[in-house]
Amino acid sequence: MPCLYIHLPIANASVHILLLLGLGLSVGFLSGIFGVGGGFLLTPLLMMIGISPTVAAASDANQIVAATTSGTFAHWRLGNVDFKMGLILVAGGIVGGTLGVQIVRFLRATGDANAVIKITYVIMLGIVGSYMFQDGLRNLRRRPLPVKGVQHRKKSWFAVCCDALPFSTRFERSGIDISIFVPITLGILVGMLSALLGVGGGFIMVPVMVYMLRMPMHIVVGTNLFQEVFTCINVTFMQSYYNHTVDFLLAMFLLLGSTTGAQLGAGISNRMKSEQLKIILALIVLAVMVEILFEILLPGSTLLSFQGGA
Amino acid sequence: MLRIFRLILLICLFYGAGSFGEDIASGDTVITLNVSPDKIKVGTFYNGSSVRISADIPVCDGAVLVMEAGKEEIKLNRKGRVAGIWLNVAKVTVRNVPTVYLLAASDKLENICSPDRRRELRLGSEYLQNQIQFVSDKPLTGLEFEEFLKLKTDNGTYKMDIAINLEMTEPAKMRLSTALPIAPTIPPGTYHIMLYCFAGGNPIARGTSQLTVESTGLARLMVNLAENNAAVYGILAIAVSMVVGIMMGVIFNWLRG
Repeated sequence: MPCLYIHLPIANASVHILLLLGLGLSVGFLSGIFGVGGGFLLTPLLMMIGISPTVAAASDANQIVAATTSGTFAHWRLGNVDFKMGLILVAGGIVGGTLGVQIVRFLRATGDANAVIKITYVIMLGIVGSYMFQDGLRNLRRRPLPVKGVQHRKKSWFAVCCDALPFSTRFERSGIDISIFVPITLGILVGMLSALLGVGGGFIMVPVMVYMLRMPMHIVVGTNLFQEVFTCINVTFMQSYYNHTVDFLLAMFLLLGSTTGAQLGAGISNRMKSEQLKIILALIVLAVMVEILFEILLPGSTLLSFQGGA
Repeated sequence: MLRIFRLILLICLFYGAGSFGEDIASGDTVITLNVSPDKIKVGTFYNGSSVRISADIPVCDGAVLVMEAGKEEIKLNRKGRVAGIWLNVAKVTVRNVPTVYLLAASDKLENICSPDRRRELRLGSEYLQNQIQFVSDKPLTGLEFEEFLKLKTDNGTYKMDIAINLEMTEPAKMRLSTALPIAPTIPPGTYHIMLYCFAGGNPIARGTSQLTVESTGLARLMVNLAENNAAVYGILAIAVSMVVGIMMGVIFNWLRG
């Protein structure tokens, strides 16, 4: 039925409406559960249905604004957003993102950007996914210890370094005391990585907050969504202004699905165990890693591709 | 005096006919093409289209119809294997590329006319290969043209296997009909359609027409805003996304009670 197809004027492609809504719904659902924007999943999926890479990435950022706003709203009402931590991460992320853009420009000039980005993707996703999967599985199998058996865990080298830093600040909502330099530095690093990989960065930020900042999983989810709203607003505006690659119509259909999915996901996340969430997210991260691995190991249908999409 | 006047008139007629192009100067029969529709409107629910072309032509061995537009420069990446990994290893600039190239024929092109004739009349891959230039920062592999054709065919902007149906209607006349598939990826613009009828490898009749593809309604509004008022477009895109996001949150909270 032709009327169920929509013509995307910026992408210059026609796509089935139900396919767009379905993609948005699925990715939004995962976004609501895990507190990630879903860019690392949706952009490759859009490219698979024939949307050019630049339009896919830019329009995806636009729809993530809606999904993360919706998700942040839902998590804020549930008391899951640490605004103080979120704002510090945003500040670091903006600095890191600006630096990252310059790195990407340099790599593009040398012609190595694509190789570096894909290999970094595989390594990052491989490490994060494997670690989360192992940790989630270990915690799920662990039996509760008797009270007398509980011992103070030995502090990691990272925790020892963090304790030695000045300007220790109390993050009430997360229940942690940590130097302000830690979230700023992590924000910068994640911002750089986000610019390099062209995604919101939730799949990196969530493990960082869980494992390095030791924040509770549900606060991590809400806080990450909060910081992603700002990252994606910045990306959407820059892509619209400089590259004209935001397809608003594409973003609208995706966000109708994704906001619905995000609400459903946020409702379910509070009913699931942290360990279950970790294992499922780890499996998704590993699946995306395998997809990119195949992409760089197999030649594809043609040896030529449009620079930045058709 | 009359002879001089006739001579001047003949010279004028000769140059006048020449100015109308090769068709009349060569003395071929001019065919009228029926293109339906001759204007395609790309709206919100557009999913490609099909253009039916028909014409009454003289009896011939074969007919070839081509729809072509523009010349552009395209920048491509070429993949190569480095340590077992497929990566972009070179940038390739392709010059003199027709934006769109659709070719319909009643038989294989090699059965209709010679390669030289095909190049001369801008028909088929010989013409494209002659026309398109590849420039790269790394040495060319020789496979670029083949790979480029594959890329444009997958993209829907090139197609060279469209059939033409020829039917005898009168002892000296034939009816030609074909349908050109207009993929949704074909950009708005004016496309030139040329028809050639061949006998003994030479063109005996020709016809030209045009097809216009134009965006309308919301699609046109969006493209104009995105290109001419990019900042406003970006702010609108963000604002609408945030409002929809919050509204969906409110609706879901209300639904949950």
